[in-house]
Amino acid sequence: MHVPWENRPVRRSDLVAVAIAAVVAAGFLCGVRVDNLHNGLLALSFAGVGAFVLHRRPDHREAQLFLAAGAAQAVLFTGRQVGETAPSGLGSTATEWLAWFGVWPLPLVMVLVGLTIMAFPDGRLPGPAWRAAFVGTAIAGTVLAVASALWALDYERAAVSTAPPFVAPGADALRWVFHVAELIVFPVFQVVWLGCVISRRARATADEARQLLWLIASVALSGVVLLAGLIVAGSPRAGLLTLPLIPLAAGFAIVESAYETLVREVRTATQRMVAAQDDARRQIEQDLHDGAQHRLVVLGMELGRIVDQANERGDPELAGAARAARDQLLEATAELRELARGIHPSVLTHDGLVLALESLVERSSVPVDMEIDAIPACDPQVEIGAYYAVSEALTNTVRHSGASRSTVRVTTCGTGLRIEVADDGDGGARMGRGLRGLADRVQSVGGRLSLDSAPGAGTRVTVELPGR
Amino acid sequence: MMPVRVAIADDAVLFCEGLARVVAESGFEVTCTVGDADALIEHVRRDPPDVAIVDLRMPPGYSAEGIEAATTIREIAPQVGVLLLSQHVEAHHAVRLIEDFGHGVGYLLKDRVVDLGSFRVDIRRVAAGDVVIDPDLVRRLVGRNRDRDPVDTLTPRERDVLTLMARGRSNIALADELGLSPKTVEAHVRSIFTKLGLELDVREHRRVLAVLAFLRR
Repeated sequence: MHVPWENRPVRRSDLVAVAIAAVVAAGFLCGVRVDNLHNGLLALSFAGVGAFVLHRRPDHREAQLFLAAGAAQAVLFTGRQVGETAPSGLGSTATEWLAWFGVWPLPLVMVLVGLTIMAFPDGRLPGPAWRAAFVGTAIAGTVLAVASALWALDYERAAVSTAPPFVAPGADALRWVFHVAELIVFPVFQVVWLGCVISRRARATADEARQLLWLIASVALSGVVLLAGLIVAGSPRAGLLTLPLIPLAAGFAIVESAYETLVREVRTATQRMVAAQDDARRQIEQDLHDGAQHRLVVLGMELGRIVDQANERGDPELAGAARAARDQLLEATAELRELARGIHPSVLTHDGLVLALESLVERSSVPVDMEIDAIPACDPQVEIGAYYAVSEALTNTVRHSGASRSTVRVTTCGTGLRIEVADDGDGGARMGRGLRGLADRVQSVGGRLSLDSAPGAGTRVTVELPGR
Repeated sequence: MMPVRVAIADDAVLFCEGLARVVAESGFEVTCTVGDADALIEHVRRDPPDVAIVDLRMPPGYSAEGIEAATTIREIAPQVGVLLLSQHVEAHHAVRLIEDFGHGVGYLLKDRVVDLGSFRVDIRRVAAGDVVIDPDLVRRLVGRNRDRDPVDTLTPRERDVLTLMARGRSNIALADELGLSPKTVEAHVRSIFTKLGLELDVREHRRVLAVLAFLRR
């Protein structure tokens, strides 16, 4: 279901995204710093994509993770902006504390971003082993972050020139331990993420695999740019600046897939409904055939015997009355027969589409020229769609068009069928109940119906039914 | 005179029994009433009747088992006439039946059994090797609107003749039914064939087939 943007309710996720954007915007007040730019863009990208996905799929867990990662990234970005530029408007204490937030959260940001990767695309970690692996990264990240926060161990790497607000004793002894730990932990993080994505890809459904492909492709692209930048310019900047593309690609994959899933579900449901309707109609026709029609004919035979017996006994009055009753009964059976035919064309089920169409044409009171290509055996739903298309169009021609002739053309169209019914009548036809029902049926098998009926120019109904 | 012997196959028990009773009361000998094609074939093999009255739709598939059964009967006992009954009459079935069987074949709406007088005649005609086609189907085909239709050029009398001809009546039966002399009927028939642009064929079934095929166009 498509809801126009202006009618969508404001969600809490929107407020979070706006807050993230505000934090990033505040960071940009300090100017654009090339080596910190990717953090701001990543924050915006994560937040924007998260909010967008949550509009379409409320409670989507991965999108919620995106918001969380965006928030962490925004804090890191703006802290670094302040730390790098030390804006004159801020007091030195405020600057120091804000800059501090641009340094120590890095390992936690890595953990959160890692979580979005490991949980992509449904927001759930794939199995207990990967949950354990994630907990491992979270513990390692927290330890590094706490150490970094207490002893100001990572200021150099963050290119924050502001002094730390405080430093716990023993920083110098810890510094090299911290850097060695970072050297080990961050690559391990990346191995864990990669392993998780690969393992998920191996067990993924087709739909999930397609979404993962977007993630993998965007990561690969970013990696190639990073490598090229390092080789050509000796700088990772270009690669870092492509990182915001990854959340964009991932979000696109989620939204695109959610739509696809929805469309598929709706189509399957409609198809099931149409098929169930056809089954019910077939059953009713069969029941009429087996039940009422036979009973009436048997009753007619009884009346026929009464006619004979009355004649034998020389009772013309009784014979006449019985004959009149029998004739009425025959009219009733004839009506019932046509009713049953309208409910479900057994000729289609038993004799195939071509003969069923011929039988329709034969019954039309407006002359019909019919051309049928050598058509392949089709899906029953396609055949019944084709039958109803011709039936409905011819009925409309006979009832409303004032046409003197009609043409029916059935051609193959890929592996499906194209049906065209045209008449030379008054035109000006509109989609009535019958055509609308037909259009629903046609759409349920992924086909199209078009009505072309300018006043005075005849009417043309075209139906395309795709094969499988 | 030996009574005409009739076998009846229809899966609708009520109808089957009702039909057997009225057929028996009409002076025919009912040799069996069965509910499916296999039982009918088995019976015909043992004790061939003069006519087998067969429901077109029967178990197991309820499609055209009746025609399949008729084909088998024609193979194992060519002298047995087959009269197919159906809830709907379709031109393509009629054409197929005449093409495949040629003689001793009938194709009627089930409702026809209600008019015992003409149904009796129909059974006898099939037993005698004639072709019998349901009047409803013929009326539908003759009355059908077509573009530049040569049927429009027929006189009302010729239309009557055409209608009866399409139903499988021979010239003599036609003459009898319309109260005309056989010579007049022959003249009408020739005129019809000329107007419709058909080859005049002396064999009855070829004639019916030609007319039906023309009317279906």
